[in-house]
Amino acid sequence: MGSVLIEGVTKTFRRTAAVAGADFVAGRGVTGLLGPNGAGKTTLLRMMATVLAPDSGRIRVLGYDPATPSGRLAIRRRLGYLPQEPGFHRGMTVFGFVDYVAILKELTDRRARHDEVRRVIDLVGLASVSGKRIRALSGGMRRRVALAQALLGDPELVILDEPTAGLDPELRLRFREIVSRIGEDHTVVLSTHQTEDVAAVCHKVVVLNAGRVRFAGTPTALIERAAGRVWLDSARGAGARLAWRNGDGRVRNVGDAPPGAESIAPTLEDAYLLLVGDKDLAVTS
Amino acid sequence: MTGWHVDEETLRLYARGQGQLSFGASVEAHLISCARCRALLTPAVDVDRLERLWDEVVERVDAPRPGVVERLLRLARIPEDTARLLAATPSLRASWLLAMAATLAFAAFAAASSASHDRGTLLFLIVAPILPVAGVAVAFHGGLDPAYEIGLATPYPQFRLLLLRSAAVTAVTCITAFAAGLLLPQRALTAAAWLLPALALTSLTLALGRRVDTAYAAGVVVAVWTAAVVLGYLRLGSFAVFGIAGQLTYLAVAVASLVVLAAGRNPYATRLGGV
Amino acid sequence: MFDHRDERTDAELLVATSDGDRTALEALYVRHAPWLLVRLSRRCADRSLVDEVVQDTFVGVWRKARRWSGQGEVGAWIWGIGVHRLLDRLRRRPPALLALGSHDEVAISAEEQVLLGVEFGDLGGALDRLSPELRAVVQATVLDGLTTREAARLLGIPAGTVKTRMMRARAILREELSS
Repeated sequence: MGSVLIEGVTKTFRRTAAVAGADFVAGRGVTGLLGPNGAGKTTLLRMMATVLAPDSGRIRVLGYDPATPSGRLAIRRRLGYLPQEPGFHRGMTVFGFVDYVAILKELTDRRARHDEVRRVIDLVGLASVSGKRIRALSGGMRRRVALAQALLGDPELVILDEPTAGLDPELRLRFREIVSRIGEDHTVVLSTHQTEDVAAVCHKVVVLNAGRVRFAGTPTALIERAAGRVWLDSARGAGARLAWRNGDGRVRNVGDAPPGAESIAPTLEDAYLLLVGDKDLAVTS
Repeated sequence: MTGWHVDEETLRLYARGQGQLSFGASVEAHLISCARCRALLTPAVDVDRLERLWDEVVERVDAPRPGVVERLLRLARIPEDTARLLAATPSLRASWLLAMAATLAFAAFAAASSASHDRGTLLFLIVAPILPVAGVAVAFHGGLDPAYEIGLATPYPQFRLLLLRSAAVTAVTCITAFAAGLLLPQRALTAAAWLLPALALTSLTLALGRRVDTAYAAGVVVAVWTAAVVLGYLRLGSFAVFGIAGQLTYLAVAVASLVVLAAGRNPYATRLGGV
Repeated sequence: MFDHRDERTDAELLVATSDGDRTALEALYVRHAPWLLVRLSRRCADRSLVDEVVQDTFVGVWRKARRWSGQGEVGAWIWGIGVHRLLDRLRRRPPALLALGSHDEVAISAEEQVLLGVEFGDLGGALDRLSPELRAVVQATVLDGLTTREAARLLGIPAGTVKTRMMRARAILREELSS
């Protein structure tokens, strides 16, 4: 029984189908939604976070149905959400803003609430700027503030929409550290278009493209799909869908390998490219 | 510095409060500029006491300092948590309050200085109820609350919050407009005749906001209102729309709208920007 | 909190504090709260009052960090805040709770007398021979840096009395040192 169940969910905005029938299950651990921009990741996450209603289909989050007011309330009490574009009251300090969200999360006891705010601020490494106004912070720090509020109250389910977007490598590593630690005994669903993030921390990956699920399974299973389909040569091969010259002068080809080609171990990125590069390849496992 | 440092025995005496004035004074003078000896003093002080005091300092230092709006709300006996949430209302921010005050001032000035007092007063009476409507629309319109999406995913009843915010905004604008109205020539009208219309327009906007985007509803309500008042003035003369019949109509509209509001269940957001 | 060391200087910590860095304030606290506590306790016997003043002081450091001139010892600046916070608190309470150091005569070794003499010379001995009231006034104004009015408030006596006692103390000290 997964923590998040998505069944036949669709959502259309004006005339575009943002989500055109998605099915998957996410349980304990870190599940990554991987896909290009416009694939429907944000829409799906919003529906999971009870911020948007689906047009059709069935959603269950932590066993509750977000279509009912009581279900929504129950989900929101156990949820931490980092939207794709988190907004802040810029005049507030870091502590002030996270405390504000803590009030919205029904942490009523002032002293306990402040201790919890301090805890999440320390967790994301912002203790040294907790008294600073948000408008004086860099983009990466603001993202961390948004992550901190998502961790308030140690929620069972944490939904992160593009948490590492625009972050420099060392901050991205720090995020991975936090996320994987939380994923040990909570459910984390995150979206990204960076395959390295998925390869690093996700127990399960769901590949989305054009509103449909192309793959749902473990990262290892996804990589296996590209087995034998990545090879090195001196030039671009005939069956290659993508090819580029390596740092050491050889050309890396991804696609249909000719017989006898020098095959190399594929990465998650290769498998992902193969999957979303061609729409006819849509298969779920 | 003389190169002289305080030995442990001296420090212990000092820490126990012993020694004469010059003894204490010379130790203190030394400690002011010697970090090493200061550190040596630390073990002589009760660690638990120091940590307990630090917890209190942290609590006082972290606690966000309330702004003007929040302090006023606290004065009105509103509990701290609610005051914090209300103070973050977009239309209670300084920029907004100034814009509203400026609009009022303009309308009041027009009313006071126009050759025909009637026309000026009419302008004031049209503008005064529109202000709370605008304020409410801004409070409700998700786009202007920067942390809107984060707020939607929290258990705090969003609708209750928005209603509280609307009430706060309405109260603030009405009190200000009332005060302004008292200063104008035809004050019987300018101070009070627009209060019920204000209530009617605001609650109508909120009720319509259930169906359509609140900003859109506000626009429609304001347009209809302006047209009605102007037409009434031209056709029926003077301030017919503010007469007894008119006031009763506004009251009826207000009550009906509030009933609709209270009866409706909290709807699921079908679009971001909805409740 | 007393385990890990912050490598920054006091001045750097104060600048960081003015920028909203709470870890910097914590480092300042670790370094300065202990001596502040002792120094205040040597002027006020009320333990809970001293506790409150220490808290007030560091909250004051947080709020006023921006106003530090950048010159002089940070410790002295902190003491300035501390002693004024003591004044504020005492204003709301009777000053009879003030103690002015212990009255026990502690045998100080001859060595220590010499060492102490380095700081104050003959003045030290002369100071100690002043009467308690005069000593209190000298400590408040000369050593703790308070104005006449503030010293008056601290000691619970009129400002005029402070001035008179200062004059007497000065006269006695001058006489002692010249003889």
